[in-house]
Amino acid sequence: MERMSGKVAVCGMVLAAVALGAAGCFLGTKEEAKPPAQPIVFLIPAGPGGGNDLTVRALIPGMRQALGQELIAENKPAGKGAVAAAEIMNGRPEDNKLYFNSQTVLLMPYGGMPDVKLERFQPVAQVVEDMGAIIVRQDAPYDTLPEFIAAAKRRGGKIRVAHNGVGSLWHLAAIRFSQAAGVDFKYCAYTSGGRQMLGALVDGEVEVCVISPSESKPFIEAKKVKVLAVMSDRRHTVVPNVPTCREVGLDTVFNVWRGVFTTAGVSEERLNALDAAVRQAVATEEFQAFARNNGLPVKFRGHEEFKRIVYEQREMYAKLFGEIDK
Amino acid sequence: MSFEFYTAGWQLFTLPVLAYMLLGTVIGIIIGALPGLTAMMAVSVLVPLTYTLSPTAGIIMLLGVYCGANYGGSISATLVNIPGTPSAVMTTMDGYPLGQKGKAGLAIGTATVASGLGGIFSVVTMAMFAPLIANIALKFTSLEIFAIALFGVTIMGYISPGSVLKGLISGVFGLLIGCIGFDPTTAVPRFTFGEQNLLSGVQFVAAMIGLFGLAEILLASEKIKDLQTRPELFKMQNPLECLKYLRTLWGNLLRSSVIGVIVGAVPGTGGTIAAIVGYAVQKKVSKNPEGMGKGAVEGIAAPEAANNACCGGALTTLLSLGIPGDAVTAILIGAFVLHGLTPGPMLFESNPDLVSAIFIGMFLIQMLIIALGLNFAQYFAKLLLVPRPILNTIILALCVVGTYGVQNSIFDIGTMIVFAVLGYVMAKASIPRAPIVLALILGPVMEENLRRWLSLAEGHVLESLAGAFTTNPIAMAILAITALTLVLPLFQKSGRLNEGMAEHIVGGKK
Repeated sequence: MERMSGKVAVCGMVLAAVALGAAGCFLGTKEEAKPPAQPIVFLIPAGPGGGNDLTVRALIPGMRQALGQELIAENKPAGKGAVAAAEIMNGRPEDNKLYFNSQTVLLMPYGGMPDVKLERFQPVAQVVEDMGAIIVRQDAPYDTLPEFIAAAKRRGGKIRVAHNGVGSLWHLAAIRFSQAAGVDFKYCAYTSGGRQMLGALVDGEVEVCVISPSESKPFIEAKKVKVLAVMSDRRHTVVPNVPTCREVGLDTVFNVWRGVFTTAGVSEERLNALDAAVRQAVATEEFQAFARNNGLPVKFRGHEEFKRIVYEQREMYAKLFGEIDK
Repeated sequence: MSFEFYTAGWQLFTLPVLAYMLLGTVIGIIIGALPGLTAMMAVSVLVPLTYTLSPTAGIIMLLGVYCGANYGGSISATLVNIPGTPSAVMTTMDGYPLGQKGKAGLAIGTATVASGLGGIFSVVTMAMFAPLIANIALKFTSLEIFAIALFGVTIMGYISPGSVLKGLISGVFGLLIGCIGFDPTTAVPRFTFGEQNLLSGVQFVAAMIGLFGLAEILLASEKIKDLQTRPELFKMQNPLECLKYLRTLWGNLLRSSVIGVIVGAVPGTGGTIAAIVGYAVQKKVSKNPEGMGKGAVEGIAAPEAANNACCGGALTTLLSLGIPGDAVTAILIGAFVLHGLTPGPMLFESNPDLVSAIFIGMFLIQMLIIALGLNFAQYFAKLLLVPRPILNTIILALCVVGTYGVQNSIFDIGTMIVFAVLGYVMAKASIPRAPIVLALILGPVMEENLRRWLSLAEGHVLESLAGAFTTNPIAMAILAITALTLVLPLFQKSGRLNEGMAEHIVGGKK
């Protein structure tokens, strides 16, 4: 009898191991299966758990309902997002692939990915409008932006600022700010992103970060850092008491949009349907609650307006980079 | 740290999490017991499969695999004289002779209890020290992180079993591979040859699965033959007999656990070294050194306590500094990243409940090891009789699916295969593979932080370095230790530890 139960136990364990593997295979490959209705693949150029990933996953239920079609999120962080971008650019419009990104998509050509061409993307709708903010350590000896700028100028020498890689979003935001405020910055790259930049701010390696209040939310709530001003024409939901730069007399804006794209050449009819689906998904109570919890400022814009903004910004970046190179 | 911090993790222990913890520990023990399948391989293959689980369930399950495998190696070490995992190499010294005397039950019972107690000791140390170290580490600047990474890279050549030169070859090769992808400060692509999949570097998990998963299958399929065993020895009578010896083992267990925790906490060293040092020290202090190597209970308890205590030590470094303490925790980083978490001091701020859950989970896993080991060791042993082709096929499938799953990339499967061939060649040339893993993790960390520090120094490198003696004393102390590690061996005829180790390992593999 004991021998028998031994065998059973061994079989059970082997089965458990196989079942785990099978479960893994199933869950892992489910996303690639193609049922007749041909689901839309929603590419996320980042790994799971980040802001882009969570936003897409929050959008999907609402869009699924609006389109009556299956949507599948697929994380493609490979090559710092270049692989996902190439999949959209080199695809056909009828592949039915969506893509979610911020202005990073405009910046990729400046950051070592010259092949990324905006013309190959069709903007579908904007979902989020975030912004840069001037953030310093909680114990910094200034509480307002003018005080900070005055202190920086008085000190002479360069103020150390963190950014998330040459030519990346927060690098540009910092450049914008430094030009407007007339403060000289020493730029330091923290390529892992926001967490690492803010960590460097907390341990004193840099003196200021220009980054979004949404990304800094845990640090702001833990009272490790404070926001001096936001670079936008309106205040930010995470720090409603913090003034905009304009309110304190500095004319600079750095809005950060995040939105949905597809491959260029998609039919007008399809584009309108997708645009409407994003609008409907953004309006759902579930998405609004998600945005509130994550400190994400929601701003919907349809494809025409979104496209206009995207191309306007591209001009601005071209000018900025032209100035940096000089 | 408050009491609430330590208990906060309890709420994460839902039924599924407990189930995955049990599953992970069982898988770990099985993998550990099967010769050729290591903790490193099991964890690297399973990391991507935890993607669909919650972060807590995924990480706790992998910790179960990690600790379970470190223990499970003792089963095959005792029964067939083959360490199931490299860290069980010293357990063959006394475990096998004791098993041959018909006392396999006593041998495995001792290994179980020693592993569990060593593990528990390490968890307690981890829970005490990790938050303290993390608190200090929060203030670490680029210079400190560079110093720690450099120390890890330096030590890795010396600690690999066998030839220092081969260890260094492997490590330097890993550093070179770590250079592939975007330059960390200027965003210029390096060594990518226009391949966009390489812009963010070689996918780490894919490389690991190749080096340790697929390569092991290649190696194993070369020599498919059933193990020479005497099934009558597999009957394990009275594993509880070891409790009679426990009275005489307390000092041994405590000493070996301390050794394990320290060895584990040093970046670059792992369970194998811990076991070797634990055994060597026990032999020095033993009242009956001649008896060791001939089936002494103390010779089983020492390495087993040390290699399991190593888990807690390595995890302390990972959680508090974000730098892996050994090769398995290096792979565990992948599991954190997969769930959008960065191990390191910030984790204590951003996810204190997860950190607390890791402490509690590690503790429970050690209890599970004791319970499972004492009750079911003989059934785990039966797995030694499962035909290898069946096992290899399952693992092969997991390697491919797991690699693809990390970032939905076919390219990564190619990476995995390239690294499998590399791993195979390295194994044939007896070049250790673990230094590659550590270099691949530590290299980019080292480069990024050094470059940033240099750029902050703005050309005044020597002045900044001199200034660092007052502003960054910790970094300078670590750099001084690193310099000593490099210089001291030049004055000795040969690395004592290394020589002893090589001898033991060659002996143990027979």
